[in-house]
Amino acid sequence: MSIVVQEIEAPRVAGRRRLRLLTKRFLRRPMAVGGLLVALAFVIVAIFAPLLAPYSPGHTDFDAVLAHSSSKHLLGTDDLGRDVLSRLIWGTRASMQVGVFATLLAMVVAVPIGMIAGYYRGWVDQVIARLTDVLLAFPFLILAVGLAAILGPSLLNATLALGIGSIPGFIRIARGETLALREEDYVPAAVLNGANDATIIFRHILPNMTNTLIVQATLTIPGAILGEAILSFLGVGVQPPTSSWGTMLQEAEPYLTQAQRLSVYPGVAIILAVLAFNVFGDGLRDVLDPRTTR
Amino acid sequence: MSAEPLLEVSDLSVRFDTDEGPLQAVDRVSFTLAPREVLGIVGESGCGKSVTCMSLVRLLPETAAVSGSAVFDGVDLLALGPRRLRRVRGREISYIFQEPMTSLNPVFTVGDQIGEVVRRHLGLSRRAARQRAVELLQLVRIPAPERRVDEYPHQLSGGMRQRVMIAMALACDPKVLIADEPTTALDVTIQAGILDLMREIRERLGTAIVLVTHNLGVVADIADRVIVMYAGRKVEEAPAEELFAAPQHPYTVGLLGAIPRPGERQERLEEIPGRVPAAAAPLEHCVFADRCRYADETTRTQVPALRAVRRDHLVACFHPEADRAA
Repeated sequence: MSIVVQEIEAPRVAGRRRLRLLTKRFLRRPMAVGGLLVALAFVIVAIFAPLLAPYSPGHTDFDAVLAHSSSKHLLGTDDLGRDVLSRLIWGTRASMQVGVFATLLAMVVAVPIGMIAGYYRGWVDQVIARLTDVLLAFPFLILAVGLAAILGPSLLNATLALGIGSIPGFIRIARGETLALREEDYVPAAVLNGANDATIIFRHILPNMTNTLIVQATLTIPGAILGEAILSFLGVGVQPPTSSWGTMLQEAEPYLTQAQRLSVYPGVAIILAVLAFNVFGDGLRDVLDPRTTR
Repeated sequence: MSAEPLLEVSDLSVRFDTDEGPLQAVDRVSFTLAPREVLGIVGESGCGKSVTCMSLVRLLPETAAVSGSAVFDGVDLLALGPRRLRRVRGREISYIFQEPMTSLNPVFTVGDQIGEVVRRHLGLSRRAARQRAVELLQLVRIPAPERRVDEYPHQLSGGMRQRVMIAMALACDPKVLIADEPTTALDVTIQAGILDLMREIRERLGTAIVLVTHNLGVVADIADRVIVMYAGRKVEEAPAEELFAAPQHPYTVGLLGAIPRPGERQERLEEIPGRVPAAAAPLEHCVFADRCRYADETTRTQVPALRAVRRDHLVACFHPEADRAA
């Protein structure tokens, strides 16, 4: 009998226990927890905007134009007498929509492409990788602004433009993960059980990279939120009178000297939302990283 | 073997194009596999036994040039189109890997993974597939199969995982089971259990088994017939008992000499000096010549042909033991 050196198994923990362990690790990161709470708050505000907003975002009160905070208008009113708090709440909805849907769009398009490149390699990979490099050569915002300008200004087109802009990053990640995962022993095992390529790619490889994709998504959402604000500010995103943080900033610009608060509120909202998602995504990445021990 | 062979491999050669030049991994190997037979393929690391088996199920990378034929059920496996190949894999011919620790997908339950195979090949419903998974786990003697079927691979020990791999391989009642070092990664007591299981499978299901191993103890345990491979060539083939009783090739003799025997005091196990040669092209002499104590002018200039020293006992050597005894 030969002496067999048994491979030491990486410490992996069972399903529910793993979840509990990850939760515990996550809770040990106050920044990440804070990020999650703030991000969740924004999402809830976006969903329940009609219930939470004291006024309709287009409602004008000509008795109170550029008014300061009062019991009637908690954050005051803008140059047309519209309630700033209400517009901020409705703007949350626009920003979250763009952030989430642009990210989903990028994922749905990019992940299959990246996986095909990583799985088949060869010339398919070469072509996809070069095209991705071309897209990556444009700075994200320049690409998004250009696309939005071509598509025409609207919430949907801003989403499309930012989604397309986020595609190359996802392709790279999906490709890299697939390159690594296709070398796992369960891939030839599935091949030898008669699985075809589609089954192997989507049933055996894809579920093993969900962690990475989730982290990338939480880091793409804030990019898209910021992108929406910039596009709207530049006039190629959401169009007035529809309320979004970007349009609010744009509308506030002429009053920078008289009513700074009109710029401050949406600005703070943007900073908070972007920071919250970023911090949450960072924490999630740390927690899901198998090298993390704490 | 008198029965019609289930699998007939003739003149199988495999050559790899590597960065360091071509490498002849398998050189004109032929063998047959009868129904219900357990065929052992032995040899030290790098002698081409795994490559031989992987070429049968076409798992080799594109850099491998495979020639020869492997006729299974009237069709040449080496010439099969991708669609028909997928129908054979897992349905007619199953494969078990050496590494049970990593051959199961970590994100699916055991039942899902076994079920996937039967749903694909037999078109079973989700519920029937689960039922079949439980039956199979029972067949491979996993305790509490109703509970285990919903567990994830990391909840199982190495031996259990190998049992799951075997269950998955048997899911569609294949005619041939190729087991590539199925016990190497397991410790000795678990090994014995897996071998018992494979013997039982042969008895109960009539599955023919190709067992690849470098462990002669394993072969002695369950194989009917044994092929000894060396440097990509088949150097000896004999019924298992005969091989152990009267080995012919000096390499086989050397391998047997390297097994520790209980009850015998030995200062040092015998070893075979030197290493397996890596050849760029088929060698034009006996592959074992460099390490053989009987090597002479003939062995260094000619390729020994396989010849029968006894019925069913083939050896590729100019100086087999039988000649020396005479």
